Amino acid sequence: MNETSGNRHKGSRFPDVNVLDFITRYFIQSLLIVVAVALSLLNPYFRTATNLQNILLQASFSGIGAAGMTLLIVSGAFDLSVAGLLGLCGVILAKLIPDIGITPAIATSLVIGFALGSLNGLVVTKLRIPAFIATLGMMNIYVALAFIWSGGEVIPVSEVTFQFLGTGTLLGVLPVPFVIMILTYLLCQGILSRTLFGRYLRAIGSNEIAGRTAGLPVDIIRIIAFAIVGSCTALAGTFLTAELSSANAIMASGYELTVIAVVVIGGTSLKGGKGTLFGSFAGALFFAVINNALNIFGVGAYWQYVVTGLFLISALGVQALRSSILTVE
Amino acid sequence: MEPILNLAGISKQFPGVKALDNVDFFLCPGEVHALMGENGAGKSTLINIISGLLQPSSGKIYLAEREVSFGGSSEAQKAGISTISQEFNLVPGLTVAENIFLGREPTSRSGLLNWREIRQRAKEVLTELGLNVSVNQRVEYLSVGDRQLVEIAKALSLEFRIIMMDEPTAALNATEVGRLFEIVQKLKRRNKAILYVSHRLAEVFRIADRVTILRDGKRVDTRPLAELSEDDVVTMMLGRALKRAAAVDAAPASIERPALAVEELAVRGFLSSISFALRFGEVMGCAGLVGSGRYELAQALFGLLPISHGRIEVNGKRESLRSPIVAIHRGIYMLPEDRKVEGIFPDLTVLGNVVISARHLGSLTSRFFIRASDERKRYESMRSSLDIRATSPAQGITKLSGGNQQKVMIGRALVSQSRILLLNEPTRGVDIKTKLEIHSVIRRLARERYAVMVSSSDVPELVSVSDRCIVLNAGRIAGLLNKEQISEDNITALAIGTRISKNPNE
Amino acid sequence: MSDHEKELGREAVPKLEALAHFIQVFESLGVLVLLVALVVVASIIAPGFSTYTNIANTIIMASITAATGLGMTFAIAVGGFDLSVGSVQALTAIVVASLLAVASVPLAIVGALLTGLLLGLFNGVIISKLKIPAFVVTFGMMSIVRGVALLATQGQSVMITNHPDFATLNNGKILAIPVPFIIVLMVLAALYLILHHTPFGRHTCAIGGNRAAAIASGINVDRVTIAVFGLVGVTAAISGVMLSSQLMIVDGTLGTGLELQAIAISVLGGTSLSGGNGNLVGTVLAALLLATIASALNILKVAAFYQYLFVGVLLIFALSIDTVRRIIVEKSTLSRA
Repeated sequence: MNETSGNRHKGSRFPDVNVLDFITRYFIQSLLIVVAVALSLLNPYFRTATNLQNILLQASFSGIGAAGMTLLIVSGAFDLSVAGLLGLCGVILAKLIPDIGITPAIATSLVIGFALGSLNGLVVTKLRIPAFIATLGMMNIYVALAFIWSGGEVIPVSEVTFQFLGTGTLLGVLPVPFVIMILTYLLCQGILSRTLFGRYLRAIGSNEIAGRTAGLPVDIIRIIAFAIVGSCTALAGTFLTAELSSANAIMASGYELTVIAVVVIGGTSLKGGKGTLFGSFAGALFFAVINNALNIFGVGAYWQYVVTGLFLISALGVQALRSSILTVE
Repeated sequence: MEPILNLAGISKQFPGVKALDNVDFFLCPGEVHALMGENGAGKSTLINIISGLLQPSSGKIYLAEREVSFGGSSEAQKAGISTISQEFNLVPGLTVAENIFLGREPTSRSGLLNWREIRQRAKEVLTELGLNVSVNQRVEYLSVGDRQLVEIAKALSLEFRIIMMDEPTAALNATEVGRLFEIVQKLKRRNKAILYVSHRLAEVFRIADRVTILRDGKRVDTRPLAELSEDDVVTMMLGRALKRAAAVDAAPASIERPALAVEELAVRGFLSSISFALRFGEVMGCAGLVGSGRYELAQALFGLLPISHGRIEVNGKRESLRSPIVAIHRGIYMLPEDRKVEGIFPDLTVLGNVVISARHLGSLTSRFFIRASDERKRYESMRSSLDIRATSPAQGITKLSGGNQQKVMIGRALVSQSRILLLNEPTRGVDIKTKLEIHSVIRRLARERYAVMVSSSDVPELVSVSDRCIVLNAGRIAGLLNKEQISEDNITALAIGTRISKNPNE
Repeated sequence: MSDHEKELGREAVPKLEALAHFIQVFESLGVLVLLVALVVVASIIAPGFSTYTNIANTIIMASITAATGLGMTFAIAVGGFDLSVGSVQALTAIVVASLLAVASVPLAIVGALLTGLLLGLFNGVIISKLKIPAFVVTFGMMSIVRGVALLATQGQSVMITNHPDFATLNNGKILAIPVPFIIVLMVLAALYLILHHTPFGRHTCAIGGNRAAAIASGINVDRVTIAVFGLVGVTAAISGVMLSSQLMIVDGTLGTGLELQAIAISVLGGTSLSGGNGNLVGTVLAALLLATIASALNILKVAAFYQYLFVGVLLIFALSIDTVRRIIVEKSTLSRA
């Protein structure tokens, strides 16, 4: 991680590139702190416990999905179907709870998320359709299935225990989904840095051809990565359903944009090969803070669309510029 | 005849190696000037300098008596220099006519394409070249030979004065070669200057007027071909003071089953009737020119290319090597030719790059989790046994020199615990010292009872490390040399296609 | 050919070439055949399908999608995608509706087209100058433009009241053909001319087919890319104008899913994802195909979401065929050293 000094390589054009690199490496975390502090000072309501809890809560829905998405992007692929996948899993969950109970229903929903993710992976690897367009098509299918299953209606969930998952807090302060988000990130970080699978993800994202030549089962690795996204998305869907006390087919409309924007602004490169879960974590919080601020300042909800898109493109632009500055020739 | 292109005292220095050393070179219009030399002699560097892709470290270039300096390939093109490359610059989905005029299409007053003019002029140029193809045919449906001619047609219609061809016959059949040569004659009559780079002696003698031979970056000589014989040229290419091959440790003859037995192997479009056996404890060299099918053979043995005929036996058992994963399972590992494209994971550390192919057998946890201490041990053993120069296992792989990166690749092959190794261009892009180190590693592997096949375009290298050597020519085995028969002359002769001399070491 | 060459399998090239050729022809005809077959089937199983009104409505539905599809085909030909077309459609619909309240019809339409053009050019600039993949840039723009559309209307609808004759753009018929379709035919003719008979069109195909060759031929890739995306923006705007003339009341939620339909009909119509070529006629045929199916399903009272499902499955199916086609092309170029 640290550039070893004393290595007289073909020098970079900017002698203090180490500093620049460090700042851009922890950019989102720094930005988050700066913005959060600034808002706390500017607006008294912002720094109330209720509001901060709300931020953590809102961050966790996209954050949990972003954990899986980070791993997928590290491996060099994308999944644009997550909004539909979430809606479908949420609807199935909501419909199953009255019949088979909370825990079995959640388990089923997660399994289905895993299965749908694998399906995405199969379409991409076996049918050799570019990921973003394949998942765009799958998105349609999932949303349609969700509509069909729900009859186009909102499915309410009345079990109080379940609702606690969305609205309750642990240790008196932290919303349940946020705790799960932390656990998810720890798990994903463990996968990425401590397992062979995690290394394989980075390998095929870094150079897929080399991966095949090195004997890596590229297709299987890809499919599992998609499956992880599916599971994380279903998990996020579980908590969203709990928070809303209901599920419907389009309850996560625009989810894919938010999740990908979170990952990109967190610093993970779209080219694959390397990624930062810590960055995605901070990115999720960052977007939650921004959206929260927009709400507080009475700026319309529609600004969120604009802001999210702007951040995505700006972050990509910064990434593009950064890689051209840091390219050593 | 006054030269149209004159290179005076051109040198090119790369870090660690001087690719060209004070080379003088010239091209005359209406003449075919062949450029010959072994791999690493500097041919590609010279072409790249003329085509503007590289800048000379010193020396001057004169075009039509005026000094020029090309900032890039487009500048050279504008000056009238065209290169017919291995990777054709054609758009497959467009027609022949569209490709010829790409970027400078004639239009009518309304701004629409003037098809009549396009087709007519394209037809003219094609007829002149004797290419019997419809100008409306999409390039993607043309054979390789035809595509090459379209590329020449494009150069012709652009009024290039200098046309450089790099191994143009590598992918052509006999008829197409004949056709190409007729066209080269036509180009001569049109007063174009043609630079022809090739390994193929017979062809050079057929088509060229003059030849320049490079060796180790220096110009050996430039002579009209009429004054030379084939043997003269080969002698100049290899040089008198040839570094004699180091004594090869005699590996004891093995009576056991061969590690790899290949019988009548064929790969569609690349190889046919390949039969040989690779034994444990020996290094088998694999020689051959560009287009001989050398790399495709290794790829087929590693499961990367499908086999259309023949059988492969690994350790005496017939196997169907459907993918690299299967091959590794059977104990075969391949070092790819181009580590940048097919080998190195730029975002991983040195350690990651070494241990990536490690097989994890045993308990579930060892197959799933990274055992840092295990890995460090494996890395350490590779590092010390191969002398990999890296500041730490966590260093980014891209920070390593080419030679060390190559050692990492070899380490990766060894970590996979495969006993049958297919090494392709093992010392490509590697400095001299590391090259020798890698050679001694290869010999050591043989002593340790690995079965090693070294496929290389570097003939002295093959002489230096091989116990036996097969030579491929146009997809077939031209010959199998035993220890006593291995020499640069014999390998080169078989690869080029001339006859092998009876006394190999004269 | 010598025996040796036969062994090497060089004669394989003509076989694969013939197969690739066959698939190409099959695609262009295939969609037409499928369309005709589907119309016949629909007339039989869906009572009321073959009435003049219904067929006219189907054609009008197809036209709105086809216009954007034609632009998307161009984008795919140059090697990119534009995921923002749905949002652009919504925004331009709002622009035309708003302008109609204060200006004449021609002016309002020009304003909308200009909006589409500018948005498209902006996409193109970011894609080429910042070297960011097209689909991500337009993915972000999809959101930004949608947000702008919603903000501009504050989530409300905009009614077109000043110019009731604006609806004739949708309802009018010339020689019994609905005006929207005539517009599409005009767009088709113009784009076909551009793609196949201008240097710009050939350069577009060159960039998508072999970018390196295009650069080596001196083509200004950035300029062409920017122009192509500008074009896509204009076609999305045309769709926006047509849609607003149909609904006479617009809001910021229009056009969701348009990008998917546009890509689906392009691929179905025979345009390969690998770029380098565009089957414009096929796109229009595929749009008619899709509309026919939707119309028949409507008549049969099949719920709207099944249609949604169907478009997704159709896209995957069309993409699979494209994969097969790409593999064949790869294999036929494999037999060179």
